[in-house]
Amino acid sequence: MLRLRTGALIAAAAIAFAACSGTATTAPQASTAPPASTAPGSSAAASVAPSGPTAVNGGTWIFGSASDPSTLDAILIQDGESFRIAQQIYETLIKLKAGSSSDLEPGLAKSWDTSTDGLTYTFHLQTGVKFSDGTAFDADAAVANINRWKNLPKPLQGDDYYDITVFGGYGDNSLIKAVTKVDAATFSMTLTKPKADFLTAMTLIPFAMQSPTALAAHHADLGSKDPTNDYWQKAPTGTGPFMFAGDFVPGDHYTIVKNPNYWDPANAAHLDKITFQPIADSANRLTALKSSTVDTIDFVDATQLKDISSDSSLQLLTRPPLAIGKLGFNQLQKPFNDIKVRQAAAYAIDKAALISAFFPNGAGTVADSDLINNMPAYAANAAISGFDASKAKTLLQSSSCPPPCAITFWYPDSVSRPYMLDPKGEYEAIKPMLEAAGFTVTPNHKPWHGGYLTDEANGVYPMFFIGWIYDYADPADGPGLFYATSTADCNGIKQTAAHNCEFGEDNPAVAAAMNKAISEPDLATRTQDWKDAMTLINADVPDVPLVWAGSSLGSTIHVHGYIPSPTQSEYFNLVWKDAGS
Amino acid sequence: MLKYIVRRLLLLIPILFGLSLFIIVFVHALPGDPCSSILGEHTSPDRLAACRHGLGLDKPLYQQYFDYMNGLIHGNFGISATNRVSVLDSFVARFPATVELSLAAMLVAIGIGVPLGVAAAKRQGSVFDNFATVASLIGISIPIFFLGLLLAYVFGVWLHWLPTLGRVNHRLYDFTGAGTNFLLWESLVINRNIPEFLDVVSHLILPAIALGTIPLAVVARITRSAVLEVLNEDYVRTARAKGLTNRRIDSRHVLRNAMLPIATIIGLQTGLLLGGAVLTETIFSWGGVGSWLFQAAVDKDFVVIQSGTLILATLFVLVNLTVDISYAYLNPRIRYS
Repeated sequence: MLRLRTGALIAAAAIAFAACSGTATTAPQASTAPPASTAPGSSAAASVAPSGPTAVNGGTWIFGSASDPSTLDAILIQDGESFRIAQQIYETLIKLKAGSSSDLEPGLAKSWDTSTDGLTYTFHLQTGVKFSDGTAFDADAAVANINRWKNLPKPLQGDDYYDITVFGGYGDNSLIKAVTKVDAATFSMTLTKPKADFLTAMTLIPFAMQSPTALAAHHADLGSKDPTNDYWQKAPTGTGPFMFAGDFVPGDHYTIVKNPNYWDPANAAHLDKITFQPIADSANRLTALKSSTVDTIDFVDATQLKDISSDSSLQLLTRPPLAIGKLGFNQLQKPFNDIKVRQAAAYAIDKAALISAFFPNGAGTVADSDLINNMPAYAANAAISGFDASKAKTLLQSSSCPPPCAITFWYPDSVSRPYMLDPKGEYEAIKPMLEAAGFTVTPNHKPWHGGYLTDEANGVYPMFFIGWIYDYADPADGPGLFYATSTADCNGIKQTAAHNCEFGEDNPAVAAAMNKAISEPDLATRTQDWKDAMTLINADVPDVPLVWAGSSLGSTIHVHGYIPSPTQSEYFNLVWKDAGS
Repeated sequence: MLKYIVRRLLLLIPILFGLSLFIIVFVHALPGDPCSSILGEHTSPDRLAACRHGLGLDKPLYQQYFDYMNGLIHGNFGISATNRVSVLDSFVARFPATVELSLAAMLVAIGIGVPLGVAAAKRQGSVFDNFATVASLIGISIPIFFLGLLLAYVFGVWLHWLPTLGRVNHRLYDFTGAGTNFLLWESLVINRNIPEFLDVVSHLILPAIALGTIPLAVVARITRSAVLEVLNEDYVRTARAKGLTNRRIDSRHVLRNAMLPIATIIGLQTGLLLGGAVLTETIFSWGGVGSWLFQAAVDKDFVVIQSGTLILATLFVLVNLTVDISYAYLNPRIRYS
């Protein structure tokens, strides 16, 4: 989870399970791909068009976001605010259905086929599509874009988080083996090895199509150090229902306008203009909403939920949870090298009391796993049944650190995350629970970006708050990262074997189970593999999952058609406002 | 005079050199680096190391300093580590917002502070004087964040009289033309659109009051004491004895002689405001340099902090130089050589 995703959930790619190539190796994906006869304009967005009152066209929508976009060169995007805007001006070959975290639908490709070996995907493109600068979107443009991902120019390398994450590298090191134009409206893409979540990953907005003409004209490939590269600030060019209005004042606003030549009239934008105004503080966002200075705000604070839902002039739009907050242990550090101590701490915490105090009004629910309970691979944690103070005392008494067992508890300063709204307050609530079990707690803290995150990643802390906002609802994007091993030095100590610095989770059985799950193409088998892996992980008690948190938007009642998505794949062409509002 | 100006400008070089050294040591002494904000949670030590290498943070500090200064000498203020945008471009984009807000705040401060100070001095010991003193104390003491939020809530949420954020109502107006980002200027002079100009002014009112309160109180206090001092001077007594009108005495003898300390404090306050007002800009989502530098500090974006601070320091020195030069006009007895 990256920098500017302060509370932001990143778009798309929910649930690789739904799009596993394993189910499509013998035939086109009947469950996800549309029939070959799918016509432009029949995409599922139409099926989720706003119901109720008839949509009104026109108007300006002022959206109170948390910050400016940090880039709009699609392949370099990695933060939520950039995702939000890019989602409106760019389009991917395949899209997530509005509001869904798993259902795929046609985007710029009206259909696609998968070869029997799961290596080659053939995309049949929509016809008559043009970028907003007039450049035709066809197989040549698609091939040019994909070749750019594969052979990303040197000055851009390293800034392409999702390109590296999905395709692994550049040139011969890329998962993309070849991209070949078949005809003007068809091209094929061959991978070096099967990738179970390939189609789902293609819904991520970094893999959107950009105008090759605009990229070249604005020197996008020369990198940010070259002053002639003004692509994302002056001319981000896609095929989407909106386009850049040429009006970006950093720190003040970013404006997009309706694309008058959008290729799919049935899904053209209702609004004439959308202005995004960055408002860093959540209290100020609410003030702006209540004073009608903005129409909609994102990342409503948990304490504001009741305020908004009880205001008849406002409405609350809630995204399902996709974030996990937890208390981590480092199993290499005393006394947490003893599983009984970890178990005692896990039983000692009354999560329900914690949630009701710090995640009121439904901002969070009690968690018992690193996976969110709406993921197919989720299963209730069988290793730790829940809050049990007497069991905590008994376990600690029989451990290698009997009461009073001295521990150091690290929490971060200067941060509020959706899964950790008040770190110090949460620490102060947990401390007496741990002390009741026989622990003696010494607090310690550091600023989030002032050393906390780097120390935590290096395995410096024995016990610490941490969390995660999933990029997409796949365990590979959660436990697959938390407990990954590497041979990198931990806290300056040379490692001789693959090792997990953060949690000290070095159980070979866990590593083997996770590797099996990550590389398994078959949906059902893969789901079961993750369940097996999670059983092993939970048994090791590397952490205490505390809360599953979602996020919410607040809006005036004059805004309609907004469909919140857990992955923030939210399409603003569906949004409209009451006339005169 | 010219020699004096040149000498002051040349003094900028060692000042900025010393400041750059101080800033880089200070910034790097803070815990953390931009990689933690770039990579976020659950990163691995090897990705952290690669990030630090990419940004040159694994080099010795003196090497980083020389690389940075080498770029600076060649006009390269660097690239933000977090959004890869040129620091100079970001500054140029945001500075007009800060200038407009600072000038509006100083207009509030001078427009109210000077008359208030003069009136208080002339009624020394009266109820009005005591009221002005208490009001000034409150003005200096009130936390800006409290005042800003209060103003926004009362005038924005309750009364719906004034907007609570931004610089213009984007539902009504666009500023895609001239691109100077000086919205007052664009709306009034370029677009010649009075409703648009008034809309921009309405967005300025609350932040200008919030930001202008402390300078207002300071200006009022300094004005009062400066005027009091002059009122007791012999030449004022003489002027009264000559039978001059109060108005003439105030304008020609009192205010003119009291202006020197007032001009000094106005200059200093303006220089400070140009450095950006973090709290006001944050509360009213004003896209100026204060909120920009604050975010850079949160993200530990070293290059932005270094270059941004150096640019602002240069401006501060230049504003003070302007104030010093203005002394010669305010008081003909002052000669620079």
